[in-house]
Amino acid sequence: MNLPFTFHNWYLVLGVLAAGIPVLLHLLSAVRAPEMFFPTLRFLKISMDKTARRRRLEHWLLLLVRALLLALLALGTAELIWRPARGFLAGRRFAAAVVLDNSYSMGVRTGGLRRLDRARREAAELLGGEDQPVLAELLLTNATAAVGPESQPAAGPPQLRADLAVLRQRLAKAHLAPGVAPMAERVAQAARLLKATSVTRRAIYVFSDMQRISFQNLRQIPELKEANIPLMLVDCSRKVPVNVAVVDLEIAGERIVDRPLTFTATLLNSSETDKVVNVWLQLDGRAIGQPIRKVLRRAGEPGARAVVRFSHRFTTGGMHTGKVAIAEDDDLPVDNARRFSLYIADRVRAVLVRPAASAGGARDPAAVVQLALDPYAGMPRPWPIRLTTTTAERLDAAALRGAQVVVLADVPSFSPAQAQLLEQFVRRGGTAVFFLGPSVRPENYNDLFVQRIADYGGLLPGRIGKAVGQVGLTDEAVTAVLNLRHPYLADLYKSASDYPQVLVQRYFKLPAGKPGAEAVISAPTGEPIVSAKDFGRGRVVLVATTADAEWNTLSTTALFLPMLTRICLEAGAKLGAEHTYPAGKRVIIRPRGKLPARPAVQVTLPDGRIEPAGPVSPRGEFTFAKTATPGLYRWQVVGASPDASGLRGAFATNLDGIESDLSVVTPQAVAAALSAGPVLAGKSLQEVNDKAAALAAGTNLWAHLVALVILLLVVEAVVANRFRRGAVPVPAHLNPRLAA
Amino acid sequence: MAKSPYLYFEPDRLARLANISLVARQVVEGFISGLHRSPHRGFSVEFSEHREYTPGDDLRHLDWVAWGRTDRYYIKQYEQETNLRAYILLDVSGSMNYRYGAPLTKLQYGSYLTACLAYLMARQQDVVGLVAFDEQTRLHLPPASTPAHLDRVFTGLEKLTPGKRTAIADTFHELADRIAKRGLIIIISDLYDEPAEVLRALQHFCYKKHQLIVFHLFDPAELELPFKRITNFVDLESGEKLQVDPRLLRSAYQDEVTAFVERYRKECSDRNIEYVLTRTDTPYDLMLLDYLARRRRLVRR
Repeated sequence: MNLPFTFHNWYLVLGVLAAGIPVLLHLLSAVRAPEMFFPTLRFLKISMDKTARRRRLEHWLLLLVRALLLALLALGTAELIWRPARGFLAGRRFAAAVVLDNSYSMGVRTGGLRRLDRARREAAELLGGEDQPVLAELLLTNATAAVGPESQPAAGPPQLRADLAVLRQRLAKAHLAPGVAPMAERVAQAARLLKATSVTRRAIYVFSDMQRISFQNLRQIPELKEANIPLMLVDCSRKVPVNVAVVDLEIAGERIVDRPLTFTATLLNSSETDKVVNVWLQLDGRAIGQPIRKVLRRAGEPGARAVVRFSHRFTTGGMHTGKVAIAEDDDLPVDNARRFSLYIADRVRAVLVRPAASAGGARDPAAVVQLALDPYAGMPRPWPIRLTTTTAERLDAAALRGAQVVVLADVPSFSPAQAQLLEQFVRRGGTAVFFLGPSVRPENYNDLFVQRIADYGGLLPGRIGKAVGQVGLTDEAVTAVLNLRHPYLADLYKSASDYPQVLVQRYFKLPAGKPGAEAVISAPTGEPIVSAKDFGRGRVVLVATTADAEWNTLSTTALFLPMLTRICLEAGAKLGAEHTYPAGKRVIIRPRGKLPARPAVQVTLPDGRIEPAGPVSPRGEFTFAKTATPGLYRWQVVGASPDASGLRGAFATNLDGIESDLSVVTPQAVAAALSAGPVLAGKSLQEVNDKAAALAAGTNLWAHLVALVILLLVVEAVVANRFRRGAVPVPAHLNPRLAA
Repeated sequence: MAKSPYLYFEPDRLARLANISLVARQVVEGFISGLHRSPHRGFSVEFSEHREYTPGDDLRHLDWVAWGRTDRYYIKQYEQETNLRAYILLDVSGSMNYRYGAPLTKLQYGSYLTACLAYLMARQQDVVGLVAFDEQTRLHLPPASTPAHLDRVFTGLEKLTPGKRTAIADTFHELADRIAKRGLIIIISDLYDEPAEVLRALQHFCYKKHQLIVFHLFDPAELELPFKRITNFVDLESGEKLQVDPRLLRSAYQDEVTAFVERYRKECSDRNIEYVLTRTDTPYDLMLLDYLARRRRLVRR
């Protein structure tokens, strides 16, 4: 209700009730009048008759005066403010910088109205009301060129302008945008703008929900202090919202078919009460398994944050989308889910290259490796590796086509073409695993893979030296040193003492400590037994011993299979990817496959709109920046065939989890952080203007004095009725003096 | 001094009054030689003054001492003493049973005053009677001066209890008719009756040649209305109730009481009636001492 007046201290209006005290006292006195015998009522009656009218008049007048006095004093203390004009700077020229918080927390809806809508309405009143500023600028907290039209990009650098119609248009188009509102920056920006103007009266109006994280970097702003610019905080929140959010989602595991993935979601309750929620995992539009029920304590309590975990194995490769979502709705639905887009790679294609003359069997190193790579020997079991074998002679491009890993088991030598093939294979992202066995000719390896390749110090982690040690395990076998921190070996067992011992009898000497080489298993002397290095986009693993029990016990331990599997999965996981980004960030779209001439990409936004991506880059990539709205975005290369799976895809954007922390900051804390001019806060533009007007009038002490007067008057009224013991003067004619 | 056997007779207080006598302002006739001036001058006991001898005067009254001093002849003149006949009319109506600002009720005060006056008069061999009345006569002791009579007076006072309503005027008229010989009428009352009627009754006494003294008794609270809060006042005689805020009425009330008192004072003065406004917070002996001393000065003029 828009009243034509207000009070500076609303709570003191209750003092008007004090006006009833004289009435109450009078009633109580009358009701409890004592009885007293008196000789005659003659004179009392006559007196009453004579004074009846006057007494009545006096009585009611006195009662009225006392009640009115108390009521007026109470209203005076409460500081009745009559508002012929609405702004505290009414009738005066002033400049204003308007900071509008359009972070996603302003999307909280209370009473059918979003906080942003309330803020826009209040700001519009300032920019279009009776007492407009002569100069103003509108600064949105979350407005960058990269974000796109959903949140209004500024038209040029900020500057105070006289044409407020432009600002009103921008205000009307302001939308929610992702990201923590950088309030400190905007206030500083506003202060700089205002300090530069010649208009002497100026103010910064901030329309916000006072979310704590928005104000977290607030610090002293010199311009505010120097120019003594008041900061007017209009709090557009109305009540503590009911909100439970999914603030984080981690997906762990290899993004490969038949590999377990763990979805770990973090929930946060910002509500004032405990909440019970049911959390779902949805994949490709279907709910997976049963929801997880979780009880969250109210905001600020231990237990307000909780973690839920889901597990899933994808059985098919390709693009998969999904979300972890809270089933229950609340005041801020946008953070009730976190979406994701995953590319699940198909089974890793590995090629085993064996010597032509390998005999097979348990003594055949190639057979041992084959068994480790394909333990189910082609049976329909969930195994992430699809293995094919070939011989060294048949090693060519066709053999490696589509493979991610090539394992070379005791291949004696290579031709230059084969060496180049392998180099290119690795350089383009493949993984090559060399097992050095009795047939290997080190000089061939060194020449082709070390000397002739300059990049990265050669393909191999180091020059292959002579083989040392005897064949056949003897007492001279050494215990290999395992690098338990290496991804190939890490976390296979609970503790280091659980790892099996690996004895090595014979191995090829490799140089230790080569730059770029990672030692996975080493001899006690430090020479690597198993080492790995990156080469180009790929990787090379060199096993300086063979998979023969006569050379070492590695292939007989429980380390061998998981080590090889991890090497393969590492290679395959490069194809698998997660395409999940923070809302508002620029996304790079990399279609797989052959692009048509003059390729173009269209993106379907979460709200159904279709927008074009940016032009293709020389590397065949497209950029897309209009990602402010959290949700799933689908893209496709224009004109692509439906079968061309590499030319379509999806990505997801989510809000920064921190934006779901809806705790608020107090105006006092803001004032303390700024340590500058006046900071005035209120629930509306009117309220802050009134406070500013009151402040402009100077320190008003009389309210305190009047409050003291009211107190004294009440005490007087009580005392007058209860405790007065004053002497009654006796007229002389009724008190004859004794002459004696 | 031995303790008095009577409630209202306090010899220690009366000691103050030892040298004070109740001297009648007017000369009254009497049959017992007392201290009161007779209207008749003659040769009686008490020497009054000299006059020059004229031939024919009785030589028994020649003052030889004066002849010896002055060598001139003077005849002694004497004042004939007569006895005082007094009635004490004590109001015992309900309104007299009030006490607030004083240690005694008006009735108790009046009783003490009555006893004191009775004693004084008996001591100076005056005859005193007592009439206690409210709306009718409660006690009538004809005047006498014997110790036995005094005993009856004191005892009678002790037995008096507050009566009912006041009907002063009627009682006074009746007494005025009954009392044949003129004397001193002492009225001790709060006079809470219609003033015009009471004054007419007093006039009746005056017509009968009586000398009147009116002790108009008030408790201080009746005069001042000192009460500080709204009070339900209850009439002592009628039981009627009235709720009053005394603070609002005090001034007007005092004006009314003043007018009441002043009317009696003026009317009594006009009728040659002695009027004494008496507050019961003034010790009766001090009040009486003061009054009698003033009275004596007036009489001796």
